[in-house]
Amino acid sequence: MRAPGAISPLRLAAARFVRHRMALISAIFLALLALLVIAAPLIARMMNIDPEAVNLLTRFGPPDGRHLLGTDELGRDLMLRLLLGGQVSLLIGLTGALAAAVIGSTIGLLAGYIGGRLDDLLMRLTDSVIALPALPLLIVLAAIDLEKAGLPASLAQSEHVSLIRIIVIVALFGWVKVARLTRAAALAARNRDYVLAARSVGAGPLRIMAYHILPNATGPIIVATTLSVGNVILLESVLSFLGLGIQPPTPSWGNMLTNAQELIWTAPALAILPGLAIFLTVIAVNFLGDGLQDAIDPRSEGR
Amino acid sequence: MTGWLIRRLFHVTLVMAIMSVVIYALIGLMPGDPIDLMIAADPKMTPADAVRLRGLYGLDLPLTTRYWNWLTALFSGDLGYSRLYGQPVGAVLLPALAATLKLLGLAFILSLLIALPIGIIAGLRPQGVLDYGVNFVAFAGVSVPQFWLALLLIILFAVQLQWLPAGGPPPAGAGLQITLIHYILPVLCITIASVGDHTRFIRASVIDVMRQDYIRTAIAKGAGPGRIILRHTLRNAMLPVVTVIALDFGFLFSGALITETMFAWPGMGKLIFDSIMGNDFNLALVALLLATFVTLAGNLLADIAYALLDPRIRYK
Amino acid sequence: MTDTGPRLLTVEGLTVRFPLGKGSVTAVDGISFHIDRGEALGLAGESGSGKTMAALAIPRIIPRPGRIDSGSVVLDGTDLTRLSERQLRPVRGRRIGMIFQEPMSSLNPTMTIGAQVAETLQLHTGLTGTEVADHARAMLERVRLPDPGSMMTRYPHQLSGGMQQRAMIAMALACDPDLLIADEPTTALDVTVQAEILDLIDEARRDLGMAVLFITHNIAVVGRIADRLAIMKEGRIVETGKTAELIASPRSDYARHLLNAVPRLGAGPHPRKQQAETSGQPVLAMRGISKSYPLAGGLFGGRGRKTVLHPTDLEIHAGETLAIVGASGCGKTTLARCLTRLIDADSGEVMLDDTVMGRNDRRLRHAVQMIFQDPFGSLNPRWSIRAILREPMQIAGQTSADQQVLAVDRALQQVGLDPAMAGRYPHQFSGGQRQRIAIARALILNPRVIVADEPVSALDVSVQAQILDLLADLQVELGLSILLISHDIAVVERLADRIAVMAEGRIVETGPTRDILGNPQTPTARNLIAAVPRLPERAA
Repeated sequence: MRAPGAISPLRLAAARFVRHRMALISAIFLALLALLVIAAPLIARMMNIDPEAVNLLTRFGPPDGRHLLGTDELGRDLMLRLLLGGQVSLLIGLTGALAAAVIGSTIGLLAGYIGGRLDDLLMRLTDSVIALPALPLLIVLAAIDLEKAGLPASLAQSEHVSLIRIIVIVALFGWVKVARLTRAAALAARNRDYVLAARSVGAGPLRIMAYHILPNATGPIIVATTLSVGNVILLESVLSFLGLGIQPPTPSWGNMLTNAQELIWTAPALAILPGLAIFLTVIAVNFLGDGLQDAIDPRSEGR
Repeated sequence: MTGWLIRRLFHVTLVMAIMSVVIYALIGLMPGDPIDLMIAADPKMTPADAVRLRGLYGLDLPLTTRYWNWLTALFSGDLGYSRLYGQPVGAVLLPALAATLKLLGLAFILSLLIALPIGIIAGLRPQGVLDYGVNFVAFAGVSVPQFWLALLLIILFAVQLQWLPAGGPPPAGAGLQITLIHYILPVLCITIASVGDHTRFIRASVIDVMRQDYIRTAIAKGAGPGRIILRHTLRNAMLPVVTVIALDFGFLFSGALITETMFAWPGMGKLIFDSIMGNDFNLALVALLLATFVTLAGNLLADIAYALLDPRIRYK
Repeated sequence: MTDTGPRLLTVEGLTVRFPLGKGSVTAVDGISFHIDRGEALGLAGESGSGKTMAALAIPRIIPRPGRIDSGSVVLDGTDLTRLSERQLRPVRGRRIGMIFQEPMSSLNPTMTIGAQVAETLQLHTGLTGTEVADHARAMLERVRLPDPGSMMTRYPHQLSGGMQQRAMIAMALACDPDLLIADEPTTALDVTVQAEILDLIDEARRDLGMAVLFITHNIAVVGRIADRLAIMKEGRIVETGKTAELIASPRSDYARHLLNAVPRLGAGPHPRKQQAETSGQPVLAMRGISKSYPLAGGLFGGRGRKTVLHPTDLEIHAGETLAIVGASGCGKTTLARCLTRLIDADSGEVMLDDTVMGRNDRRLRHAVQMIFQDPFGSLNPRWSIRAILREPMQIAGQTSADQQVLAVDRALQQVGLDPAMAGRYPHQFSGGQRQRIAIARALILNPRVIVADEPVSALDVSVQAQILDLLADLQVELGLSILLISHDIAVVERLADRIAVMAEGRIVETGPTRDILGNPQTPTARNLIAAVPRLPERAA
């Protein structure tokens, strides 16, 4: 139902976003990357290359008509490995950030709207998690034996467990920023008269949180989630690089660099390209988040 | 403010207590346990020996009892013995902490020395050419994977140009010049990763303060730009920056772990990583706790600095 | 009125523009005026009229990206628009002092009051450190801040709003300027403090022989101290004249319109207002309601409680308007929220027709509706008007979607808005229109009582009158009872049958409107009546 002359806040934000050139370029880049990465198996079939096939005779092959970026230390096609690695990295980045956003916005909403002792408690928890040295603790979490933690062996050793484990780990540390921003937005909205107006016609706390507070906090939540996609990708790459994240042969941009230090002479592309892929993706995500921030809050000017 | 300080101290103690339980429990979930390692090392041991050893080391006790025993030992000064280094944990830990603090301290100061002037200048003229440039470089710094950056630095400066050592601490007894040369790459690596964030925060904070009504008041009083920046903008702009940077200590420590591992720097970060990878549980446990304590303490110090800078908190 | 000397400031053809996209917005459109030495000129206009930009353009402190496009600002023979920034600095603070609307945000939070007053002196005089400190302390004394010695070392957040504005005045007057520009200096302050600040400015002007440019949205506020008035509308000055003459016989339609809209005491009730029955069975009542809040105590809490509302009784009868008046912080808003059970009282009960109302009682939620002060905050910015107006019906859950849409159209017509605009969003409406929408939302469930918390205090005067008229019409038409909460006795007089005066959490005086206004019994009521800015007498 769109009335003539109606300009929704969303349309205003969209107009501001388009003016943000770097963000627009980044959005297009990320969209293309996502397309390519999703199409990776299709591309492999079209090129008639098995990305997992090890062929020691064609190790460190230079770029040619068949292998556009050459081959890696096990003779696998580098370009396809990069695309498949991107699939894993982007998947983890998105799901990890989303999981963090769900946890963070729930906690932030409860703290901000209900307030009082609960707010005190939750914010102290948030402050503590922010203050902790994240990476050392992440490494411990990534290294623990899931069977010892009580997970059935069949599950603990299943193929997807390293993927799920890393998503859980990054979400465990990634929710704090979203929680803080959501709380601030909820706190601001809680005392607005439109919330009082809703309460005065009998709206309950759930309705108010869902219809009045959350919609007015979506801006900050979206921005924080976007920015945390970048952080999650970086975290995943470190853990995988250190051998604690995604386990080979499943490629991820991080674990493709594990041997880079030794391979730097034989095949510099192997040490440079996965890192460049991480770098470009994360910087695009950050520019995107910056643009969204400006679009949602025109006064912020890139905070 | 005394009441506030007591509450903050209580808070830090509480978090430390909780983290000690969490870390103790997590370390217990590491793959393999000390007895398994002994069995692996000594083929003559029988399962019966293993059970006997478990009893001897108290490993068959419930987790809570073991935690309590470990904690009482910790407070009586017994940090345990490092399996990996063959030394008491304390003897391994202290030099590592010193090495890390030197590295982080240098990187932190360098980062602020770069970020302060650039952030302020960019913030005073938002949307200018310099501002765009700074913003771009800052984003690049935030977005680069630190281990990959270390790799590139090593390739370029150590291998290709052969100007700087690829890693390792300065040799004992080395002169100032040699010592400094060994610091350059690791410090640079941490600085590049944090300077972007610092610059962006300072810039945003300066922009925010310059929009405040009291800046208009100062202009209306006839104050010149120098006075407005030094007396009215800086102190107010530094307040939020202090809190943000305080929260950064944890991030800084994470950076130290990567950098130390990449540059074979014998600090806390590398120690934690090596001890976890090498199943040296005594060492990992205490090192993790110490790392947590150091970041929390840094955080508390920054909070105190904030309170001293902001009269709205000081006189509450 | 004081005698005025030779010409001090001449503004000629001043135009201020804000670049926007490819074009620009003209905030001030070629205005001309002058101020003589020692003269007080009032620059009055509604929000968006360009009056503040005109004032800021004089010492050239317009916010970026705005700039002076053309025109001249001549102070004592020097055209300020031609000076460089460096040349302007000795003018700012030394010859032109300024005070602003929000004293809290206009003071640097991390500098002591003493240091901020001293700064003006350091910038413009060659005084030594101790001389500066002595002079600054003398200035604080002059603006009658209590205990100037300790005030020197205090920070802004430790002062009340009125005290902060006094400190601002001390800062502006420290170098004995020729001109004081006061931009809405009393708007953000409590009613009873407003008069004190006005008196202080007027006194300083007489003592120092200083000229004053007084910017305001309320003609009555400047009526007391301005020698002449200039009325601004849409960037232009539509009329200037001697204050008394302009008020007595305005020449322009707009000035007449503004003057008529100024609420003033003694104007009598709204013409359509009917005398309501104020005895018998009340529609809504509260018995022994009290409320207190714990003082901030952090983690362990419990450092005593602050009572904001002592046990209070109140009754509202059918078709009656009961006004609660009092200074800010007297507990009137808490009373309203306890009465509507938006907050839980510590003791007492709320009754609708003799039935005690529980928390979130549907009967109460349908029968009693609220209107809030800030028309920008009371409508959810993400929702269309139609969605906002439908929400009460959706929660009540008794009507079909078709009926709801019809009800929305009807309610919009009732408040004088075009139903075709129901699809738009709040930011597309003016303040007055938004308040109409808020009233429509309050009407949509056919309530019996409307609780209006400062419904017009955030609006321009001309819009205030329209909203008050609308409320009066609706009351007659629908037989509503209204609980009107206000700090402004003049607003209350138009609508209220009865007035309850509040101070420090208690109702100190109640009675029919005429009795309270004509013969106030308590100092609180007398102060509130005295605080109403009055236009000088004029021929009707």
